[in-house]
Amino acid sequence: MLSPVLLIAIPLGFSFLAPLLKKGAKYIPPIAMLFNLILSILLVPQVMRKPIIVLLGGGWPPPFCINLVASPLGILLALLISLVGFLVSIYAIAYIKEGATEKYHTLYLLLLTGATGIVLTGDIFNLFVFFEILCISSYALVAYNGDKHGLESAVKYLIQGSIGSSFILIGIALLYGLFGTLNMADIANNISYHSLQSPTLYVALAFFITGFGVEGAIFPLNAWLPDAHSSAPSTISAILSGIAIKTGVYAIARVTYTLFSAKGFMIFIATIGIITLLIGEMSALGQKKDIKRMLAYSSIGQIGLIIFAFGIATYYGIFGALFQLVNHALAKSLLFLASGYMIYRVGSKELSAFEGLGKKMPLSSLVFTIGAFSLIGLPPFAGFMSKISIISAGIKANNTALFVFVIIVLFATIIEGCYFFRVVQNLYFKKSRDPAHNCVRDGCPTTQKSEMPISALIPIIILALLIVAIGIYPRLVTGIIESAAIGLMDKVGYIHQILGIF
Amino acid sequence: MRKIISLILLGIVCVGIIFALYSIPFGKDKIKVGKHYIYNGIKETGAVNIVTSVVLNYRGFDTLGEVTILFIAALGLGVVLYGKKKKRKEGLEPASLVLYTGCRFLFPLILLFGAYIFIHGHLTPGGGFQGGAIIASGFLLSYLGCPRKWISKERFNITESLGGLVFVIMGLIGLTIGGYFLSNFLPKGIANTLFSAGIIPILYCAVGFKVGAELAGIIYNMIE
Amino acid sequence: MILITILLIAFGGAFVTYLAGKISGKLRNILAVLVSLALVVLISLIYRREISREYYTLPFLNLKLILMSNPLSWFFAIIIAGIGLLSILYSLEYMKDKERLDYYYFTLLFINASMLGTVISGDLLSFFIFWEIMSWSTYLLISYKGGKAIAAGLKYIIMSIIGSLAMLLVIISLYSRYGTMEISAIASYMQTASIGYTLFILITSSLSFVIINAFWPLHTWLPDAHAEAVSPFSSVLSAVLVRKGIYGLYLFMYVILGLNILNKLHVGFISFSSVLCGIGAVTIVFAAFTALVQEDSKRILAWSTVGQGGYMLLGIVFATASGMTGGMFHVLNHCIYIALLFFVAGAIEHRTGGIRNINELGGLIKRMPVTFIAALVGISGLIGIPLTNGFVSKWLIYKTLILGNHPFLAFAAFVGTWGTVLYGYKFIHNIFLGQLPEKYKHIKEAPLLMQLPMILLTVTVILFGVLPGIPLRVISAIQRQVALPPLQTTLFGIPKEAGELNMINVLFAILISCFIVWLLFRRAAKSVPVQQDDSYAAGSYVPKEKYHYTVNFYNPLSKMITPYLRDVASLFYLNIARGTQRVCNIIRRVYVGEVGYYAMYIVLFLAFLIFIQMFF
Repeated sequence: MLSPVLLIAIPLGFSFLAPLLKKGAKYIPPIAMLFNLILSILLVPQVMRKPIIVLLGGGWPPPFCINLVASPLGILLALLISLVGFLVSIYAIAYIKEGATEKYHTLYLLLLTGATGIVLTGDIFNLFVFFEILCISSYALVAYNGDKHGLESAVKYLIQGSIGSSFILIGIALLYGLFGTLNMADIANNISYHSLQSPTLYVALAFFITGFGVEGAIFPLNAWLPDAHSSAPSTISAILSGIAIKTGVYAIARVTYTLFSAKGFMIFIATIGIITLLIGEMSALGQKKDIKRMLAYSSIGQIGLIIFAFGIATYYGIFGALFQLVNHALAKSLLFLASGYMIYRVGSKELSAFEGLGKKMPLSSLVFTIGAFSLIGLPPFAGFMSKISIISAGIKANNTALFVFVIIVLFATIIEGCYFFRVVQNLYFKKSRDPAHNCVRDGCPTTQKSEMPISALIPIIILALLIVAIGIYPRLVTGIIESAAIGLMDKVGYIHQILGIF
Repeated sequence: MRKIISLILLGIVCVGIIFALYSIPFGKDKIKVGKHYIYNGIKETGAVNIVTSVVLNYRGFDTLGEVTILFIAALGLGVVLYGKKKKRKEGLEPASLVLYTGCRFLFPLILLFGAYIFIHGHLTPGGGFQGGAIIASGFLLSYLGCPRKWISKERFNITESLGGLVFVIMGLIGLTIGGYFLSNFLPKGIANTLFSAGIIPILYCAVGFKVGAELAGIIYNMIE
Repeated sequence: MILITILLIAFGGAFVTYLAGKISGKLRNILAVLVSLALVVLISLIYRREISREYYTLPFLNLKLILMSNPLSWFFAIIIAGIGLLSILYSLEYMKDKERLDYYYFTLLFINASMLGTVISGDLLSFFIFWEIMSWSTYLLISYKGGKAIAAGLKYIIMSIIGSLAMLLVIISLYSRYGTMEISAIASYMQTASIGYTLFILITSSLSFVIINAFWPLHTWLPDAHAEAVSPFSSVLSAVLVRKGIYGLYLFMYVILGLNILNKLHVGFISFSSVLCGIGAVTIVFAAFTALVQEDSKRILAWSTVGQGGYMLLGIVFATASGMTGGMFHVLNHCIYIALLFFVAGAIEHRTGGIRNINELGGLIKRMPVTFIAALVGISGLIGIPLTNGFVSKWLIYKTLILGNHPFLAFAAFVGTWGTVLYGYKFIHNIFLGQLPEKYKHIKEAPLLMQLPMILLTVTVILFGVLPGIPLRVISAIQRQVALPPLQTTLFGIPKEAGELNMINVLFAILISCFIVWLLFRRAAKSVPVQQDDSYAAGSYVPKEKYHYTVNFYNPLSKMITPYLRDVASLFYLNIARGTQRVCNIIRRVYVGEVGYYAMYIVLFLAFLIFIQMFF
């Protein structure tokens, strides 16, 4: 009975239930995500042996029916989504106090459901539907604070997101027109016969990459991201950064590897990744005021790194990309969550307001530092392991262009170090200013300690422990990432598993 | 300058699409999945309306997703408009007698028609989405025509959630009985009768109620 | 097993100490001392034992991480552990009233642990991992004091990251080429590598070592960092951490590549070694004169750390027996006396309430005699006066330079020593001699716990100066390990065959001449103590507070050389940093904030994709 479809159905059911519960709604997302977490952990051993193909609807064989594919990659990401989602939702219990809270929790759960659906589905149109679920709920959540900035950036996000979505739809339409099928394995099968010569395929690929690229935040398409991240509630920034843009990256990888297997195109993907990386990191260094915006730019940079690693197009590259994806999801959600209460306490998003917080909020500052170090890629934190695997993949590929890119990656790491150390020194080494400074809310800190509430502290500590644990004992995750990477490379196997079982 | 650049860019995209469409076989009987649906749809699902069979059986999961999207849109509107409620104008002028009576007369009829549309979704053109939209238009009329007779938003919310829950629960029952999520576990019955096509009418009812309540809720939010 | 135990104790001890600090301060202090003591004991146990042991397998890179111990790593390990212990002992009193002590001890122990890790790692990846841990934990401790230390820490960490990333590039490149990171395996593969590749490996990896060892022109982080760190940590920084650069250079040049390959790397008369020599010489001269014009006690010592690094470099690039031995011995010697001198500076800072400007001090000899003797011995070692350890190593280095026919390098080394004499004298004079300012009339000698490490180090300076054979034996073992000619040694120096040096003779000669001088003074007329006012101001009134005749030491010389001492490198980096900031700010403007543009970006991207796909 452990069907992977429950990963989608149960949260969906819960989210329909949530508005009925009013005050109790805030406990719904943790319950649903805990369920998902346990289920996906239970599924891992089974999936590692053989991917599970789940038929939906009448149970007709693909391509006639929608099917889910619980491959190692899908389960890995589902696991990640439920883990981060679970922790963030616990944090949100105390953090989200004002506004239409039950709507917040419902939308939040739906966002995660959408993300889970994206990574599990085996049908391109179904993927689009879940994409819309994810995007539309995130538009609404970005505006949750209800202030002018929130609305403005939500509208910006909405406009760009819908352009992206419509591009995806055009891409799907082109493929459907060409092959008469929506099943990804079937499309992939057809494309292998065609080989990538037909202009329709070119154009469809372009539409897909552009469309998914908007959500995946690759360079010129990511202008929504800094605004949205900085004006959303911190929990949502954490989810957007940790989960939502990852699904965009997943979709790009899925489309390029499984659907089109566009080998010659990959160096181009790597170039885009590198440009995204550079622009993101440099913007983050240039952003000296708003900490959330800085983190958002850094997300852009990290996404660039992940995409670059996908663009290396070897097993090692994909491995590094997935590893980095996992680590970045953990670290960046940690950073946003930690900064969430810091911002709340000091009443300002200004970097300078954080001076001396290390004394007032010691644990939050500590975990923030751990997250930042992990992102820079310092050992013994998780980020180091993934960064080193990406760099080694880049050098192993034995390609001059990639070697140059690797040097750029190293350069970007220096920039990353500059701006993260800037925050860390603000937290720890600068003297805090006048306690009344910037204080607008009640319960603002005086000189004494004012740590987060315990329910918010536990999730971020768990995240920090995970980062350290992965950094010291990478085997915790590398097994499933390895099989996920193999799965993503193995297009023929994917087609065979889905179309050939009947 | 910006306009010129935009034009050039759009031109390139346009050329691309033209090239792309060039090789797509239009109007030819080549659509693989579609053919399957047309020839085997009734037999496999028991729904006479092929569109319905596709929407609720073959691609029922998508439909669940789409219903969810609508649900999100309604919720999202609620989030955005939260705390922005203006005070309802007190001295609302009552509608004229003709309008008032007309509304009261038409309102049940519209609801009935909407219900008909979604209950017969598997037999005739139409279905849950369309029926729901019709129902919502009934509420719109009632809001405009008889402002006193407002139905509280709570009820919409409850209907909405229940509709969604029914859909998911039907799916889960399908998973338990039929082995597939949303599988058609009820007997298919005789084609062309009302009680046929298994769970499709039930799902369509759920969708109908849900869509109706959602759209009505959106209207309610907007009017307020 | 013992190596793993060492690492576990080192890292675990740091954490336990931190947790103990939450319970009680005393417990923490005891634990910190115990942990560092245990490390010293454990490391002395592995003397002369060659161990190599896998301790961890990295799954995805399929790498085995190895710990090893050999003469080279033992040499550095014992220095690290020893100085670590002394600085912890010193901190007990020095740091007493400071805040965040748990954090301080934790970081200090953690840094020591990571430094130990770097020297006992047997593969490049663990070397790199420990190196990086060392970098960031050092950063955390440099900035500890806040204020100016923040900028110093940031400067350090950025330069250090640059260096370590260069090293990362090297080790990953080696890994992807040879599929291993084990140092011994890589060493054997590198014998067949092409010259270009070898040069790439050598230059890129040297970058990080040159930065950490603060050779000109990459020295700019050091003076700030050393001056702004707390004194016990400054001594760790100067004595040990900085010398990881020498360790790294040695590792790459001699352990991995070996002399044969190094000799091949030249274009005409420019070779890798000659470039390093040049860097070393410039570092010596530049640093010596910059130290001369400093007014801050710790900054003088920081610059001298920079300068002495040059001597070590000059020693080790010449792979002759005496040069190599001299270089390595100088590492040890410098570590001992510079730690001592930083302790001295710290003691004065401690007693005077944080005064580092030497012009405000003076006459402390009467108040702090033990500290004075420590300073005197330390400075003598720094200058290289016979009977101190610095003499032996410098003598070996000079001999190498002269015998190797390098007049310019030798000249630079001599000039550096003259500079050292000048600033060494200034250091002693301005702090300890001269007039005691009124406000320091009631100052006390440094606490006993602070004296203890100083006395220990003072004795060691003399001991190694008289009996250089003890450390030289360890160093010849290193030479044997990398198949370089070892220097023959006796307990008192070097036997006749290898160029005689017998410190016991020197000792007696000096003792006898001292005796003669003493006799002469006894015979001479007794001196009469005169009041300062009488002798200097001819009886007129001297304002006690403001007046201090040691300000503007070497004024004419300073005036002469200051224009040449502009730190061009530092300015250059500053400009780069500013430029980068500016560029970043411009880049950020890509996000103009108007949706119309953003939509256009999207279409642009799509059009671009379609365009390139259509035509390529």
